[in-house]
Amino acid sequence: MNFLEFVYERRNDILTSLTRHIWLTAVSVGIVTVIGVVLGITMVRYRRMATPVLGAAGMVQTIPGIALLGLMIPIFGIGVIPAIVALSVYAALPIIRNTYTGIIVVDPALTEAGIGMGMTNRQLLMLVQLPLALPVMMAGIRTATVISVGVATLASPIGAGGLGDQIFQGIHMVDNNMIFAGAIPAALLALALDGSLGLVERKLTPGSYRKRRKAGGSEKP
Amino acid sequence: MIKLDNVTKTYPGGVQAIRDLSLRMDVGETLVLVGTSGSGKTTALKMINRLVEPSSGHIYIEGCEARDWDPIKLRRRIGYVIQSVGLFPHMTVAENVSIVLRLLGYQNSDTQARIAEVLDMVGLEPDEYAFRYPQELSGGQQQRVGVARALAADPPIILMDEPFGALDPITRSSLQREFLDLKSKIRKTIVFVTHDISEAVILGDRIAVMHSGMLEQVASPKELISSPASDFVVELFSRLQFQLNVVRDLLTEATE
Repeated sequence: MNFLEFVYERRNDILTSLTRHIWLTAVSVGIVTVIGVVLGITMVRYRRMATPVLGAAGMVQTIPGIALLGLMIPIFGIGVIPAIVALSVYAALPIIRNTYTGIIVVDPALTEAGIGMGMTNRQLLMLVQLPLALPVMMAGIRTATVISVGVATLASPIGAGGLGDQIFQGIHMVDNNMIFAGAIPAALLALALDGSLGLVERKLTPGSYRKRRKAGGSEKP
Repeated sequence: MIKLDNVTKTYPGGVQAIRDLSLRMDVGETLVLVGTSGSGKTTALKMINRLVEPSSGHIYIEGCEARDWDPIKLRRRIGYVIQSVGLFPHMTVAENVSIVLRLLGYQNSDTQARIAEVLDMVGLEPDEYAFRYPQELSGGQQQRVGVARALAADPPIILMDEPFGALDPITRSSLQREFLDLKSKIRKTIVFVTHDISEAVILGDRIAVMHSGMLEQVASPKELISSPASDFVVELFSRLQFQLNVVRDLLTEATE
């Protein structure tokens, strides 16, 4: 039986796994985007928080994915909940860091102009800092999404389902077709999400600002 | 009217930016603060819109003490132009110009006429420039937009922090000429910071010479030249005098 026949035969299983995989990724990235953006903005206001928070988020990333998922079992048991918690923790760093950095690197002259013309902190954030940080923030969300798609394949052993089901079953049964039936959709999913979020990122960099940055910002201010 | 009474500013670490500064800006006059870098001129300017708070002394703006003003409300009544221009790159010229109007709660439809009016004032054709982005403009055009933005909400006071400092000499002198034109039309209280004494002489109704945090002299350009109060003021003008002499000699030679 060749690979395509195998995939066709098992299409329902694979589709179920894929749907679950997308769902796991979407929910955890959604949660961590909200938390990460709020944390990033808070860190801008309270700079002293930045080093410990970024340090903690970075440390979590040094834990191997499968070990982190294993660590969740004694706390949250098995199933979808521990998987989502682990994925969220794992994908937090790029979003927190990019929100923080994106705002920090906004030209101080623009912040001063905003404050000097009478913007409140909230107006400065909404009208100046966030719009200018948005492309950088979006790049963080993109990275977090790709990480999540990868790590979510490891969520199968703790009973959360996803494309890892195909991969781990294939490993146990020494069935290459089955491994590929999980691995190839996961890889394609990562590429597709990366590509489409890249387009969103470009869209968020407004009009001529984008053109100038592409041209390398040659014009003098 | 703006009044500074015995104002000092000491930064944490002990650096004294301003020492015992007393200064008055009358309604409708252009007062130029001139001095070298580190003279405290920018600090003095930023105390007016409360970007910097004085360590001691009193500042009065339109009769009320600055510290009693809500800083947000105060700043919306004061136009602010800075050397680095500070136009928002994600907004069009029109959006940049109307931003203070938006902060004040005006609807977009109400601001259109005013945007065209102030762009006209600074010599930019509204139809041509309103929907461009700042990066598409030259340095001189960007600073014109910066001035238009400061004028948009028709504030009684305008602060200008070396607005023409980063421009090439030709653009600078044409903007100086337009500034003279503009200020006679709008009659606002303008506080203008520069390190360029010739710019101060051209633009100022009165000039306040500052040196290492202290006020050396405040007087009309004519008085400063005819009766300088300190060696520093004499020195400041002697350099300008030297340049002028060279140019004058050359001109006389050329006509002979």
